[in-house]
Amino acid sequence: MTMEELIEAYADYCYRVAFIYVKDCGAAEEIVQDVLLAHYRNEHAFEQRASLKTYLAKITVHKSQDYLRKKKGKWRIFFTKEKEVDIGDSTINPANLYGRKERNGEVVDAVLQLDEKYRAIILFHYFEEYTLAEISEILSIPLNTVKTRHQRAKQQLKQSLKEVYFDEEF
Amino acid sequence: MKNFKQSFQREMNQYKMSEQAKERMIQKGKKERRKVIYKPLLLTACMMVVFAGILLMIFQQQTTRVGQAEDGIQSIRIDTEARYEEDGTTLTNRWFSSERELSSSKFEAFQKKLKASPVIKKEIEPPSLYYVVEVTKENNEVETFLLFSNDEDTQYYVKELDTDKIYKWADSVEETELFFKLKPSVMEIALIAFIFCMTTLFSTLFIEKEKKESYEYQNKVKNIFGKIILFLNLLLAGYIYLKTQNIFYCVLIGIFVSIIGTFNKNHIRMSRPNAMKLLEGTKDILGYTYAFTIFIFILYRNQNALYVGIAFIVLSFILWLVMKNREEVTCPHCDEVLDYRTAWKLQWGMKKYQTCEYCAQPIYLNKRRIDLQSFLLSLVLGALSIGANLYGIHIAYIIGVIIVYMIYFILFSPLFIRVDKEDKPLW
Repeated sequence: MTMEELIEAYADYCYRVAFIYVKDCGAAEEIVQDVLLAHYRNEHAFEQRASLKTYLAKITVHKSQDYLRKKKGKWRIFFTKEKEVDIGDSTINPANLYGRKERNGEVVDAVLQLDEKYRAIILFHYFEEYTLAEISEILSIPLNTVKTRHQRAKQQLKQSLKEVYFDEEF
Repeated sequence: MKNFKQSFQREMNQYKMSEQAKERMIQKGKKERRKVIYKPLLLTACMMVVFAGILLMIFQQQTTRVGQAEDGIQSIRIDTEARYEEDGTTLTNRWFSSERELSSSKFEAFQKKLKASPVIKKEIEPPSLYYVVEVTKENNEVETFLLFSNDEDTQYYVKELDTDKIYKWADSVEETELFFKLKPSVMEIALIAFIFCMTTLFSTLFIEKEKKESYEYQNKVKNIFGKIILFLNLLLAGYIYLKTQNIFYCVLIGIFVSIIGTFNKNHIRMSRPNAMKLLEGTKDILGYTYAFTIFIFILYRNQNALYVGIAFIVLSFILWLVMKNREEVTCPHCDEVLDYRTAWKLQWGMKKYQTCEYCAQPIYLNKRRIDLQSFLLSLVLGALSIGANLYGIHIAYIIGVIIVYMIYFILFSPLFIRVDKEDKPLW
């Protein structure tokens, strides 16, 4: 697979996953770049035990978690704390402006307000339409934990979004 | 009321990566692809042959099977396996003969030591394990001796077969074993270790070349390459095993080879082996080397080995220190990271400047950095050499250490250079 094909097929997908985690357009782009280039360099490392999409999702999740961990690094407390980019926030940043331009995100806004561990589950379940079992594999957490988090995320979303309803489980 | 899933999907679909970022990624991908190259087979094979030749030379004296003695040439040989029998069994050209010819300079030394050794009067029967020493003089007269130690292994004796005289050998046990090459010297083992390191290092350093094959083919090549290296390393280990015939050293060498082999194999399979990463990996190789050297020191209690061990530790420490604060060498014009080859050419090449491969602008070396590196190197080498002289370390070890330092300096220094837009004067 050439780099162009890889980007065409998976860049936006990975970008959404990364964005849901880090809530920052610029950082999400960097993460996607890391993920796709890393895969491109080490294509042989992909053993085809899962689909490429799942595989890339997993790498993106790990990279995003790494990013967040670094961001929360203990030495950061001695420096100015980086402001988390909030969708409702009016930070002047070209990347944010770009991201905000076409957004009308009431629902996304509510999802981004959730805790990190709930956000990914909502994204994978409702946007990418993965089953909870698949999500448990991607996130490397037990299925029951995924179910619990899913339920809690739903409850929190129901509270914040009064005018939406959820489908039956799939 | 609206459906959460549909609303979420609709909103999320608007989140897309910018075209500029995608374009940037494609460009980076092209550069990466250009660097992912594995085509080292021929070069590696040549290097392996060269190193195997050096290895053979090192072991020649210790392991060469010798034929019939040439007329009129004095020689001294020792057989570590064949037992002398009453019917005058001669040492023949058996394929796995353990007969070794010692250096001809040892002929004189042997005679001197024999004279210096006192003859003991009481009768000592050689134990079941003894060595046969055959000394051929210029007039082709052959004298045969039996070399054996006492039960406690605290003293060696030499029995002259013709006269049945028994000499108490003047040297200590350790010196005697080294003299008769009953076990390899520290220097030899250090050299073997060094050669293994260099084999691994050099063969992987030259992996980068222009990409011509498809990606899949590259993977195949690199796997084959890893296997070849491992196989050759094992072959060398097997060769040493057959020739040294000392299980203890063979096990040591075996462990060492497998560490290096595993390291090498993993490195090659793990990721794109660009020169920078591999150079960083040599710290590990260096670590193995000095760990091995220190182990030998403990075994031998030899201050020369201690010196080599300390030198390696200092070298590793310096590398660790500089690697910790290392920054990528970037082009001052376009801020692109320069590859190792360009940096190396800039540091050691004959041309005054190099051209940046990204922006095609001329780039010059920052001379202040070179001064600092040279100063550091001369300081360390000076301290090590003076210290070595004070403690009476053999000159061969000092030269060896200096050579190792120089090689690593030549290989590593391009990683720490700084590049300027113009050729600044030295002041």
